[in-house]
Amino acid sequence: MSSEVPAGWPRISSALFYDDAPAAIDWLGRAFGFVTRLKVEGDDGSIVHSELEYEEGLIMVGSTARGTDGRKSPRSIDGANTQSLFIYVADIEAHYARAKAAGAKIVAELETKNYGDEHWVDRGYAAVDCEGHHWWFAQRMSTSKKQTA
Amino acid sequence: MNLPDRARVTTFVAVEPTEAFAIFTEEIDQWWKRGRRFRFGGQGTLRFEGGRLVETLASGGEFEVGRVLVWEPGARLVFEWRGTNFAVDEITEVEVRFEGMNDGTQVMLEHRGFSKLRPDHPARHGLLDQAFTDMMGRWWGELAMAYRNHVANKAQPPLA
Repeated sequence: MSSEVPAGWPRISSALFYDDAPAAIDWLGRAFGFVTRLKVEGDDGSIVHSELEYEEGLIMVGSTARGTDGRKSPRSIDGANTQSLFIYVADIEAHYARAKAAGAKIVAELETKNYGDEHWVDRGYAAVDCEGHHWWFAQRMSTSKKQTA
Repeated sequence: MNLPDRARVTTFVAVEPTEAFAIFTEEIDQWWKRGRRFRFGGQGTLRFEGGRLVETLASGGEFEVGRVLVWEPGARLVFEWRGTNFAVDEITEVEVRFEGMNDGTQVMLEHRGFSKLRPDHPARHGLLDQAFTDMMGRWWGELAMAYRNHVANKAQPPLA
């Protein structure tokens, strides 16, 4: 048995489902800065498979119309979510401005959170995407001296 | 019966469109995956030559995938596509578009004309509905990632 992870893949990646997956892929690029490294579309234009990168992070985006695994878009179930995604970015101010300009709904405004001298300081915000998935973005501002020692 | 006609894959490479086009065409034998699942004759050498895409077979023979219909460096490439089990008049078409985006190139490949293949065509492996074009899309997806990885590996600065 091999525990090897294929090149270009993190050990864990999530697949997110959207009613209009092609539009969501474009939106995630525009608003959050994802790069579509692979998009496979079927004859009807729905997504067969996709891989979107954010630096070394990776998600897949799929169409709710495909698959037999009970996939739903949050917008079809009153915005319910069973997970949210958390991403560290290099420049939180720029990321926030970009997301807001692209129409992301900001549900927690940019805020710096100091967890105390023995912990860390993060600056981040939360947004809801084009179909209601929840996302947190943060920039690590400082790490405690104790942790880095 | 309207059979599904096309599959599409999109990838992104971090080089300019002119270079993306040049690598796609001139280095096709380097990035195109090897083996029976991906090569026409299994072990051959693939290249664009004399207005055609051909695979030179290990036996010394040659298989013509199809003629090049459009050759616009840095922008668009269209070529005919025949599998080894296609009849002479069964021709599909592949279009590749290169569009500059975010300091790189979005490469979109569309393979179309599958609806012309009869329902019992061996290339379908028994798949009549969108499952066939999905399968072709996944196949092209593997090739698109091989192309993308080839471009990325080239872009690495040489070791000091």
